[in-house]
Amino acid sequence: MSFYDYLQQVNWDECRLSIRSKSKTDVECALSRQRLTLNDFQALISPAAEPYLEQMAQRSMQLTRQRFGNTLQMYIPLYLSNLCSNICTYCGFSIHNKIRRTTLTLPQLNAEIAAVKKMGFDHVLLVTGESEYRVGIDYFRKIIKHVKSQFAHLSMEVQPLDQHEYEELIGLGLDAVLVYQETYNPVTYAAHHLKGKKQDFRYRLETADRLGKAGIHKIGIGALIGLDDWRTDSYHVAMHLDYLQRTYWQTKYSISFPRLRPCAGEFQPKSIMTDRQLLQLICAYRLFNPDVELSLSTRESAHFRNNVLPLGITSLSAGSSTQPGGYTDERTLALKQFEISDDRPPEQMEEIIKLKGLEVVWKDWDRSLNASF
Amino acid sequence: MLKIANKAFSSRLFTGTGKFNDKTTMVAALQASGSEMVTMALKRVDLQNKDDDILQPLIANNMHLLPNTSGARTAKDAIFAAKLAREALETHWIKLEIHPDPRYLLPDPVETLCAAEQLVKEGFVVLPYIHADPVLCKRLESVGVAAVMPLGSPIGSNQGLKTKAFLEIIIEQSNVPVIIDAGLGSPSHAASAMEMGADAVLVNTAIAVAPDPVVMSRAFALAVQAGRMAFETGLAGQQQQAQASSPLTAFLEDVG
Amino acid sequence: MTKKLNISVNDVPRQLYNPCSIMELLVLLEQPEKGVAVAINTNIICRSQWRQYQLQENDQVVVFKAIAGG
Repeated sequence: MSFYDYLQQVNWDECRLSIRSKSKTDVECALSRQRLTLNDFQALISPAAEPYLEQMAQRSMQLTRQRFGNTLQMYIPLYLSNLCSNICTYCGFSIHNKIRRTTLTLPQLNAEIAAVKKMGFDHVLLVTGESEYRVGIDYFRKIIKHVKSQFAHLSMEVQPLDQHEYEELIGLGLDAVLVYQETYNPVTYAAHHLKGKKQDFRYRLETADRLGKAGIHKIGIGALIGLDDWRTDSYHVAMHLDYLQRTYWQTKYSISFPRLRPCAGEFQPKSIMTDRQLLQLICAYRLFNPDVELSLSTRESAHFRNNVLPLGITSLSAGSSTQPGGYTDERTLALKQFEISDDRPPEQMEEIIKLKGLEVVWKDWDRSLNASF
Repeated sequence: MLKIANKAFSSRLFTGTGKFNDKTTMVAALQASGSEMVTMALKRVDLQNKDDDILQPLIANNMHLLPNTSGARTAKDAIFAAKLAREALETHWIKLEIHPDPRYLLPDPVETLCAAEQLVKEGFVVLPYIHADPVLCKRLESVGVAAVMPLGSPIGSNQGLKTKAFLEIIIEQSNVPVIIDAGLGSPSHAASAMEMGADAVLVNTAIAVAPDPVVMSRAFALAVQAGRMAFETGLAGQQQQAQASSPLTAFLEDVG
Repeated sequence: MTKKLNISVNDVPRQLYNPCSIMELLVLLEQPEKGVAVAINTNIICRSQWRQYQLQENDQVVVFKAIAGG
């Protein structure tokens, strides 16, 4: 049994119609409940919930502070490579985009690590394209132990791996893995993944199952907003979370909600999500699950980030570069995966967070109890 | 429809057969409850005094029998009792209960997990009676139990859902049916358990020692149905706190 | 010549005629076939073996029975 099997019982169009048909009464009912069901989540992301956004935000903020305290976790992505063997219609790293390809060598990586450490970061997210042979398990094996010796928390956003590979990397110090399904609609998925191993919908969908079995500390999931109807995809994320928490109950979870932005490809999103709707989604996730971590990237504007960060978010990136070598080499500007919208440096972000009455946490985690590295 | 180990039940009220005044009352009460599964115990035959044979009427009423391991104080005892029950009642189903403590009959989590794992391996359909411990429930689930039976309050105490906060977590997390067992003293307790989303309840003492067990078992049956119905349609919640005065979402109106 | 067989049933000594199967013992004890389990020297004997199983000298037989319980 995996989430793939679970999804066989779920009909995409029925979900979409069910969300569309939610009424004010459904929303009010969901808002008045202590523990929300998946059906309540549908109501909260429905068009009927739009007039209730202020109420949702109030409750979301209160639940977040109650559960996470007055803190915000800071992390930074570190791009190791933009090599990729997939064609994905929406992605700047897609193999058919004519950009300069590079993978960090050890000296380059050390320079990047030094730059990121200097900014104050202790939680790092390693990112690559998906190039199984050139940036695969052998490369990760080499890198992870090295990076982990310099950071408190190490997460990774790379191609999906097998369970035994995850087990090995966890042993070397890997704490968290983020794998986004992009879209949970297999038809749309097939339309956007035209070449490469990423075409295998099922293998990607079952990644979180493999991670859960491997005993990872944290799993990040999400959908790429804009590929298909964002409400239906986000509902699938909620189902996925619910399934994972029941099945791999010793694991922590985080959700991200990347919205499509213009990138090197000519792709334009199918469904556009407004700022108001993104906030609605963030609050809906929080009300549905008070414990899940919610992460906001620099894809979003400074104005939006400033105002949304106390309302439900638990972790934030800042000063990000989405290209390999981006923290040390000013010349490599043509290689970005996506456009950064908020380019304020971390120390400026920290000031803003303090003004909101929150404390920045650079490190909240140590494996000292079970670490052998 | 409730399914436990591929067996479907249309009633979500399970009943015990203990503590009734006599066999006739017991049978009448079980019939009135609509229950489809009843628990039984095993003991050494008293060769001097002939026991009442309660098995025949239960079989005649099409009851699914769920023998328990009461009296077991260790995993070893319980496994022995389960095997005896399998021979006696010709069923692989077993309500696993291990209570080394004779006073409150509180279940031993360590022995229970150990016995559950062994019994599942030997092909038993295991329903463990346990404290309302969410982590224990997940551990039991991972060794393959067919359902979990957390207690509402000490057995026979009729105190209701003293463990409510933990039962809620168990129900939220469980991939196997959750049957609230022990301590349900009144139909309203059973209804609350069902409203919370429990898959079923097991009631014995509150029915058996009521002034009129037949009427009381009917009352429990109705309460279980009402609670389940309310859960399925979704309860209206209570009003949350009043809105704060400074709006958090006004920034969305700014033209950025 | 008939031999006598000394066993105990639920800790009470008892003398039987040899040979005697478990099934025959249950009839002697006026126990129904259903709802009963038998252990000999702490080994549970499967129902399917009750007819063949011949009791031995000094066997400690314990008979269990399903009763009412919560």
